[in-house]
Amino acid sequence: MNKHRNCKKKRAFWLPLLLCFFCALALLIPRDATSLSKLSRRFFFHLFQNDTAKEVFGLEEAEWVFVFGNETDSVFL
Amino acid sequence: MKTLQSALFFAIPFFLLVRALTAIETVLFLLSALLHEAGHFLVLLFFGYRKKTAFSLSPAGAILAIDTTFLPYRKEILVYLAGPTFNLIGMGVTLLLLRQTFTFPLLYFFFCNALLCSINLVPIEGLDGYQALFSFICLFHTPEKAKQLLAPINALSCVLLLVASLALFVLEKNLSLLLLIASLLIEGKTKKATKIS
Repeated sequence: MNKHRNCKKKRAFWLPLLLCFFCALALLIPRDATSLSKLSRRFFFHLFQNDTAKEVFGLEEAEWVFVFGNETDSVFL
Repeated sequence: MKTLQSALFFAIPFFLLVRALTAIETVLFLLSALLHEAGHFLVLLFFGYRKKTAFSLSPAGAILAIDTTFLPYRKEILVYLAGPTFNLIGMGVTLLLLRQTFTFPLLYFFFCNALLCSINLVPIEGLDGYQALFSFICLFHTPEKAKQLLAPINALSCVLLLVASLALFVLEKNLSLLLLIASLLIEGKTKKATKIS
Protein backbone atom coordinates (compact mmCIF):
# COMPACT_ATOMS: atom_id res chain seq x y z
CA MET A 1 0.00 0.00 0.00
CA ASN A 2 2.80 2.42 1.00
CA LYS A 3 4.75 1.53 -2.10
CA HIS A 4 1.74 2.40 -4.24
CA ARG A 5 1.33 5.76 -2.47
CA ASN A 6 5.02 6.63 -3.04
CA CYS A 7 4.66 5.97 -6.74
CA LYS A 8 1.70 8.32 -6.95
CA LYS A 9 3.63 11.07 -5.14
CA LYS A 10 6.60 10.74 -7.45
CA ARG A 11 4.39 10.97 -10.53
CA ALA A 12 2.55 14.03 -9.22
CA PHE A 13 5.93 15.70 -8.70
CA TRP A 14 7.26 15.08 -12.21
CA LEU A 15 4.18 15.95 -14.24
CA PRO A 16 4.07 19.69 -13.39
CA LEU A 17 7.85 19.88 -13.99
CA LEU A 18 7.42 18.45 -17.48
CA LEU A 19 4.56 20.85 -18.04
CA CYS A 20 6.82 23.79 -17.08
CA PHE A 21 9.46 22.43 -19.45
CA PHE A 22 7.00 22.49 -22.36
CA CYS A 23 5.82 26.00 -21.40
CA ALA A 24 9.45 27.18 -21.41
CA LEU A 25 9.92 25.55 -24.83
CA ALA A 26 6.81 27.31 -26.09
CA LEU A 27 8.22 30.67 -25.03
CA LEU A 28 11.87 30.20 -25.98
CA ILE A 29 11.93 28.20 -29.20
CA PRO A 30 11.74 30.19 -32.43
CA ARG A 31 8.82 29.36 -34.73
CA ASP A 32 10.96 27.96 -37.53
CA ALA A 33 12.55 25.36 -35.25
CA THR A 34 9.27 23.53 -34.71
CA SER A 35 7.78 23.98 -38.15
CA LEU A 36 6.69 20.74 -39.78
CA SER A 37 6.12 22.74 -42.93
CA LYS A 38 9.73 23.93 -43.06
CA LEU A 39 10.96 20.42 -42.27
CA SER A 40 8.83 19.14 -45.16
CA ARG A 41 10.23 21.77 -47.54
CA ARG A 42 13.81 20.99 -46.58
CA PHE A 43 13.21 17.24 -46.84
CA PHE A 44 11.76 17.45 -50.35
CA PHE A 45 14.28 20.07 -51.43
CA HIS A 46 17.07 17.58 -50.69
CA LEU A 47 15.08 14.63 -52.07
CA PHE A 48 14.48 16.30 -55.41
CA GLN A 49 18.19 16.75 -56.02
CA ASN A 50 17.83 13.12 -57.05
CA ASP A 51 16.37 12.61 -60.56
CA THR A 52 14.52 9.38 -59.57
CA ALA A 53 12.45 11.31 -57.03
CA LYS A 54 11.57 13.84 -59.74
CA GLU A 55 10.40 11.00 -62.01
CA VAL A 56 8.25 9.43 -59.24
CA PHE A 57 6.49 12.75 -58.67
CA GLY A 58 6.32 13.41 -62.42
CA LEU A 59 8.11 16.66 -61.77
CA GLU A 60 9.26 19.23 -64.33
CA GLU A 61 12.29 21.36 -63.50
CA ALA A 62 10.16 24.52 -63.77
CA GLU A 63 7.60 23.14 -61.26
CA TRP A 64 10.36 22.36 -58.79
CA VAL A 65 11.71 25.90 -59.07
CA PHE A 66 8.14 27.24 -58.68
CA VAL A 67 7.62 25.39 -55.36
CA PHE A 68 11.12 25.52 -53.88
CA GLY A 69 12.71 28.56 -55.52
CA ASN A 70 16.24 28.57 -56.91
CA GLU A 71 19.05 26.57 -55.35
CA THR A 72 20.57 29.84 -54.24
CA ASP A 73 17.44 30.59 -52.19
CA SER A 74 18.81 30.97 -48.66
CA VAL A 75 15.52 29.83 -47.04
CA PHE A 76 16.14 26.17 -47.85
CA LEU A 77 19.90 25.96 -47.76
CA MET B 1 -6.52 17.97 -12.37
CA LYS B 2 -4.94 14.91 -13.93
CA THR B 3 -7.15 15.30 -17.00
CA LEU B 4 -6.17 18.96 -17.25
CA GLN B 5 -2.47 18.07 -17.05
CA SER B 6 -2.84 15.41 -19.74
CA ALA B 7 -4.75 17.83 -21.96
CA LEU B 8 -2.01 20.46 -21.56
CA PHE B 9 0.71 17.92 -22.29
CA PHE B 10 -0.94 17.30 -25.62
CA ALA B 11 -1.93 20.89 -26.29
CA ILE B 12 1.46 22.54 -25.74
CA PRO B 13 3.61 20.37 -28.03
CA PHE B 14 0.76 20.45 -30.52
CA PHE B 15 0.74 24.25 -30.37
CA LEU B 16 4.54 24.29 -30.77
CA LEU B 17 4.29 22.09 -33.83
CA VAL B 18 1.53 23.93 -35.61
CA ARG B 19 2.13 27.57 -34.62
CA ALA B 20 4.61 28.05 -37.48
CA LEU B 21 2.12 26.63 -39.99
CA THR B 22 -0.40 28.51 -42.04
CA ALA B 23 -4.10 27.70 -41.60
CA ILE B 24 -4.12 25.44 -44.66
CA GLU B 25 -1.04 23.54 -43.43
CA THR B 26 -2.65 23.00 -40.00
CA VAL B 27 -5.83 21.73 -41.67
CA LEU B 28 -3.80 19.35 -43.84
CA PHE B 29 -1.91 18.03 -40.80
CA LEU B 30 -5.19 17.42 -38.97
CA LEU B 31 -6.71 15.85 -42.08
CA SER B 32 -3.91 13.28 -42.30
CA ALA B 33 -4.42 12.53 -38.57
CA LEU B 34 -8.17 12.12 -39.19
CA LEU B 35 -7.48 9.84 -42.14
CA HIS B 36 -5.33 7.67 -39.86
CA GLU B 37 -8.03 7.42 -37.19
CA ALA B 38 -10.75 6.86 -39.80
CA GLY B 39 -8.78 3.79 -40.91
CA HIS B 40 -8.88 2.31 -37.41
CA PHE B 41 -12.50 3.24 -36.87
CA LEU B 42 -13.84 1.90 -40.19
CA VAL B 43 -12.16 -1.47 -39.66
CA LEU B 44 -13.56 -1.54 -36.10
CA LEU B 45 -17.06 -0.81 -37.46
CA PHE B 46 -16.54 -3.58 -40.01
CA PHE B 47 -15.78 -5.97 -37.13
CA GLY B 48 -18.98 -4.95 -35.35
CA TYR B 49 -17.81 -2.26 -32.89
CA ARG B 50 -20.86 -0.20 -31.86
CA LYS B 51 -19.83 1.56 -28.62
CA LYS B 52 -19.31 5.29 -28.01
CA THR B 53 -15.77 6.41 -28.78
CA ALA B 54 -13.72 9.24 -27.26
CA PHE B 55 -11.62 11.13 -29.79
CA SER B 56 -8.83 13.57 -28.92
CA LEU B 57 -5.93 15.26 -30.69
CA SER B 58 -2.29 14.79 -29.81
CA PRO B 59 0.96 16.15 -31.30
CA ALA B 60 1.52 12.72 -32.82
CA GLY B 61 -1.83 12.78 -34.59
CA ALA B 62 -4.96 11.78 -32.76
CA ILE B 63 -6.17 9.25 -30.23
CA LEU B 64 -9.23 7.02 -30.30
CA ALA B 65 -9.99 5.60 -26.87
CA ILE B 66 -11.34 2.18 -27.78
CA ASP B 67 -11.60 -1.11 -25.96
CA THR B 68 -10.41 -3.76 -28.41
CA THR B 69 -10.56 -6.64 -25.93
CA PHE B 70 -13.72 -7.98 -27.61
CA LEU B 71 -11.69 -8.76 -30.74
CA PRO B 72 -9.57 -11.86 -31.35
CA TYR B 73 -5.85 -11.12 -31.84
CA ARG B 74 -5.97 -11.68 -35.61
CA LYS B 75 -8.62 -8.99 -36.07
CA GLU B 76 -6.86 -6.71 -33.59
CA ILE B 77 -3.74 -6.76 -35.79
CA LEU B 78 -5.85 -5.60 -38.75
CA VAL B 79 -7.41 -2.80 -36.68
CA TYR B 80 -3.97 -1.51 -35.60
CA LEU B 81 -2.52 -1.67 -39.11
CA ALA B 82 -5.56 0.03 -40.69
CA GLY B 83 -4.45 3.54 -39.60
CA PRO B 84 -1.01 3.45 -41.28
CA THR B 85 -2.60 1.70 -44.30
CA PHE B 86 -5.06 4.59 -44.73
CA ASN B 87 -2.10 7.01 -44.56
CA LEU B 88 -0.42 4.96 -47.30
CA ILE B 89 -3.59 5.20 -49.40
CA GLY B 90 -3.61 8.96 -48.73
CA MET B 91 0.01 9.11 -49.94
CA GLY B 92 -0.88 7.19 -53.12
CA VAL B 93 -3.83 9.46 -53.96
CA THR B 94 -1.73 12.57 -53.21
CA LEU B 95 1.04 11.24 -55.45
CA LEU B 96 -1.44 10.88 -58.32
CA LEU B 97 -2.68 14.44 -57.72
CA LEU B 98 0.91 15.70 -57.51
CA ARG B 99 1.62 14.24 -60.92
CA GLN B 100 -1.26 16.36 -62.25
CA THR B 101 -0.52 19.57 -60.33
CA PHE B 102 2.65 19.98 -58.32
CA THR B 103 1.88 22.34 -55.42
CA PHE B 104 3.34 22.72 -51.94
CA PRO B 105 0.09 22.02 -49.98
CA LEU B 106 -0.24 18.65 -51.75
CA LEU B 107 3.43 17.89 -51.15
CA TYR B 108 2.98 18.82 -47.49
CA PHE B 109 -0.08 16.54 -47.17
CA PHE B 110 2.02 13.72 -48.67
CA PHE B 111 4.74 14.47 -46.08
CA CYS B 112 2.27 14.50 -43.13
CA ASN B 113 0.83 11.14 -44.20
CA ALA B 114 4.31 9.66 -44.63
CA LEU B 115 5.37 10.99 -41.21
CA LEU B 116 2.26 9.69 -39.40
CA CYS B 117 2.46 6.32 -41.13
CA SER B 118 6.16 5.77 -40.41
CA ILE B 119 6.14 7.05 -36.82
CA ASN B 120 3.06 5.00 -35.94
CA LEU B 121 4.67 1.84 -37.27
CA VAL B 122 7.66 2.18 -34.92
CA PRO B 123 7.39 -0.53 -32.22
CA ILE B 124 7.17 1.84 -29.23
CA GLU B 125 4.56 1.07 -26.58
CA GLY B 126 1.30 2.89 -27.33
CA LEU B 127 1.94 3.13 -31.08
CA ASP B 128 0.29 0.97 -33.75
CA GLY B 129 3.51 -0.85 -34.67
CA TYR B 130 3.98 -2.06 -31.08
CA GLN B 131 0.31 -2.98 -30.62
CA ALA B 132 0.18 -4.93 -33.89
CA LEU B 133 3.40 -6.76 -33.01
CA PHE B 134 2.07 -7.42 -29.50
CA SER B 135 -1.17 -8.92 -30.87
CA PHE B 136 0.85 -10.97 -33.37
CA ILE B 137 3.09 -12.46 -30.65
CA CYS B 138 0.00 -13.12 -28.53
CA LEU B 139 -1.15 -15.54 -31.25
CA PHE B 140 1.67 -17.86 -30.10
CA HIS B 141 2.49 -16.79 -26.52
CA THR B 142 0.77 -15.38 -23.41
CA PRO B 143 0.39 -11.55 -23.18
CA GLU B 144 2.96 -11.49 -20.34
CA LYS B 145 5.51 -13.33 -22.47
CA ALA B 146 4.73 -11.03 -25.42
CA LYS B 147 5.37 -7.97 -23.26
CA GLN B 148 8.65 -9.50 -22.09
CA LEU B 149 9.76 -10.21 -25.65
CA LEU B 150 8.87 -6.71 -26.81
CA ALA B 151 10.58 -4.85 -23.94
CA PRO B 152 14.07 -4.73 -25.55
CA ILE B 153 12.58 -3.86 -28.97
CA ASN B 154 10.61 -1.05 -27.34
CA ALA B 155 13.71 0.32 -25.59
CA LEU B 156 15.86 0.09 -28.74
CA SER B 157 13.21 1.85 -30.83
CA CYS B 158 12.99 4.66 -28.27
CA VAL B 159 16.77 5.14 -28.36
CA LEU B 160 16.97 5.04 -32.18
CA LEU B 161 14.13 7.51 -32.57
CA LEU B 162 15.70 9.80 -29.99
CA VAL B 163 19.06 9.67 -31.81
CA ALA B 164 17.32 10.41 -35.13
CA SER B 165 15.45 13.37 -33.68
CA LEU B 166 18.61 14.75 -32.03
CA ALA B 167 20.47 14.35 -35.33
CA LEU B 168 17.69 16.27 -37.06
CA PHE B 169 18.00 19.03 -34.48
CA VAL B 170 21.79 19.25 -34.84
CA LEU B 171 21.84 19.03 -38.66
CA GLU B 172 18.66 20.91 -39.56
CA LYS B 173 18.03 22.96 -36.41
CA ASN B 174 14.51 21.47 -36.34
CA LEU B 175 12.86 20.24 -33.15
CA SER B 176 9.66 18.83 -34.71
CA LEU B 177 10.65 15.18 -34.43
CA LEU B 178 12.01 15.64 -30.90
CA LEU B 179 8.67 17.16 -29.86
CA LEU B 180 6.77 14.29 -31.45
CA ILE B 181 8.91 11.74 -29.59
CA ALA B 182 8.66 13.62 -26.29
CA SER B 183 4.88 13.80 -26.55
CA LEU B 184 4.68 10.13 -27.49
CA LEU B 185 6.75 9.14 -24.46
CA ILE B 186 4.67 11.33 -22.13
CA GLU B 187 1.51 9.96 -23.71
CA GLY B 188 2.74 6.41 -23.04
CA LYS B 189 3.44 7.26 -19.40
CA THR B 190 0.27 9.19 -18.66
CA LYS B 191 -2.34 7.23 -20.58
CA LYS B 192 -2.91 3.76 -19.27
CA ALA B 193 -6.30 3.16 -20.87
CA THR B 194 -6.61 0.92 -23.90
CA LYS B 195 -6.25 3.12 -26.94
CA ILE B 196 -5.30 3.32 -30.56
CA SER B 197 -3.05 6.22 -31.56
